[in-house]
Amino acid sequence: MTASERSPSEPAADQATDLVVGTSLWADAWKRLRRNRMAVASGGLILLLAVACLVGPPLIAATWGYDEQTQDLAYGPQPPSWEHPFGTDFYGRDLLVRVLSGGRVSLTVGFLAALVAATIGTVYGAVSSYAGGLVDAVMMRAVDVLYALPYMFLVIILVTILGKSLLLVFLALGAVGWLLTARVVRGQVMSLKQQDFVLAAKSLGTPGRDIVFRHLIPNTLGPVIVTFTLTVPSMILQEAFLSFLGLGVQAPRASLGALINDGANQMLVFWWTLVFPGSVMAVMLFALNFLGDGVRDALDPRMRR
Amino acid sequence: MIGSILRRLFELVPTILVIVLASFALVRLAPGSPFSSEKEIPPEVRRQLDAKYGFDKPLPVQFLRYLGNLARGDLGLSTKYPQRTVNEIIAAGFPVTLTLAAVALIWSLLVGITAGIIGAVRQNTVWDHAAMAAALVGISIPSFVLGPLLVLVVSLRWHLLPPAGWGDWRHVILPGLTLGTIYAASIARLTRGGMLEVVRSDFIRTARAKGLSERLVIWRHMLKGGLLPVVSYLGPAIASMLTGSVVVEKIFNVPGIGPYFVDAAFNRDYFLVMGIVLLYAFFLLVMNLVVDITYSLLDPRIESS
Repeated sequence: MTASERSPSEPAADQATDLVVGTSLWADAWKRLRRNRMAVASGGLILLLAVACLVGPPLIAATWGYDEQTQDLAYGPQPPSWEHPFGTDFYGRDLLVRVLSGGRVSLTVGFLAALVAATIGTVYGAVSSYAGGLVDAVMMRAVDVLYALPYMFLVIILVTILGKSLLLVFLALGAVGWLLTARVVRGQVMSLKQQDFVLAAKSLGTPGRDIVFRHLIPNTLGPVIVTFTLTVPSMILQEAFLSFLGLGVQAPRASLGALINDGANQMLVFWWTLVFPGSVMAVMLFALNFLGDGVRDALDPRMRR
Repeated sequence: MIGSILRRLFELVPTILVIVLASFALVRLAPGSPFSSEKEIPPEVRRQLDAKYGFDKPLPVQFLRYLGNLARGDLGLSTKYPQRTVNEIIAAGFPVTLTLAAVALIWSLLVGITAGIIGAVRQNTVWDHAAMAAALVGISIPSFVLGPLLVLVVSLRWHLLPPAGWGDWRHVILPGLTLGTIYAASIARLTRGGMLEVVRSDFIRTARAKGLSERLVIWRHMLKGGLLPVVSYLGPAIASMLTGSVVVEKIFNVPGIGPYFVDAAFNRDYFLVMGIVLLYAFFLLVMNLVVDITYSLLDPRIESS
């Protein structure tokens, strides 16, 4: 892990310099993140995976003329070989292409759902906290109620209501997943809104909406980014969870969760149908978690574990 | 203390009412009906069915009737399984799910806290790095990958434990491990972080200064600090264990409540969906309450502030 130049026993001084020099927080964080070798390696790995998932399927289609849905029943399930490094599945479909396009689904859903969650959560938390009083109490009570509802069950209900399309899956995940961000942002704004720059903005007659969106929300960006990076892997996990239950992406399209489900059903005979999608999923989550930890350490050294 | 617990219990009532209303609205305003998936039903039969379940009344009336039944502990009839009441289905499935979650919880606490203590006490040694690397791997392997792999190796290769089913204690082990591992990993990280946070505080120095043995310092003082973040994590963890068991029950063919829920959501089995959601929500609310109380017992600062 990286060592911070400042002594951790001086949080007050730490904060003061951050406030005086506005850009130093980000430059500092970037420097700390770059020095965290494992986090950089994880970031590189994710980039590599993302590029492979984006470029791989069309490239393979252009070169060898098959995609994730091309079947070859006569060929059937074959173990890994030079032609098909991940082997082929029951219908003779190339597993590498299927894993890559499944990975694309996972990454897309993960990032978009986390983005939806972060957006809703940030606005909700900031508005609730800035409004204060009864509005705040009611809005936060609603968050408490939603918190008590079994999260995955809510998503399952939403998915069965909305239909099983990819777009709706990440909307459903994002619509339910914003609670943590809302709480984090609310806590931040609580202390921010007491500070002088908000008073200054108010005394200049800045309308409330502008104070929230121009002055308060930009200042909560650090914790929001931290929550965001750690939300992405959990969203990917939940999409796979849904697909595993048959609620996510529908056949013949591939998604990692659906591939793992197929593989789990045939693992006795065709082990590669479970092992390859499973390891890609695990590596993806591992790298994202590691990067998320790195970002958290970089942006908030005092939160380091 | 007892007074504040009673007050908190009393405060749960409006929350539960809101949850009942919200889930009722969500389930009932969804398009489709419990009888739409089947073949064309003659209108007379349809009218009979609606009358049997009370769907012929206006929604507000139905809601009040549902509330009334709920107050008497009657969760209504299942439309998918006409021979069974929701109470019967839950009584059959929930204890199984609960057992599974309990085994997972015990496993995750045992392994997680042990690994966390090792990591904190032997900070920055090989032991620490090994424990934390294992924790990161554990967080990154989803249950639906771990489960089939465990079946493949432990049951089918080594023939140690049954691969699926439900009966005696041997059936509980693999699903329990599968469900609990990801939480064990999180708990390990939280325990280590919590212990390292208190390691330099005054009360630890005092404990050492008055000549307590290192063992006592670790077990009686440091561990208490280390467990605080774990305790607050347990609420959400138990919640997602209970919902996460849907997948594990599917993998190991365990007759818990999970498979019913997915089925019920699909078939618009209104009362069964609501029954399970409410049961979980109630359970989670009580769990969160227990967690909060435990927290204030462990940390005397909470009560005084």
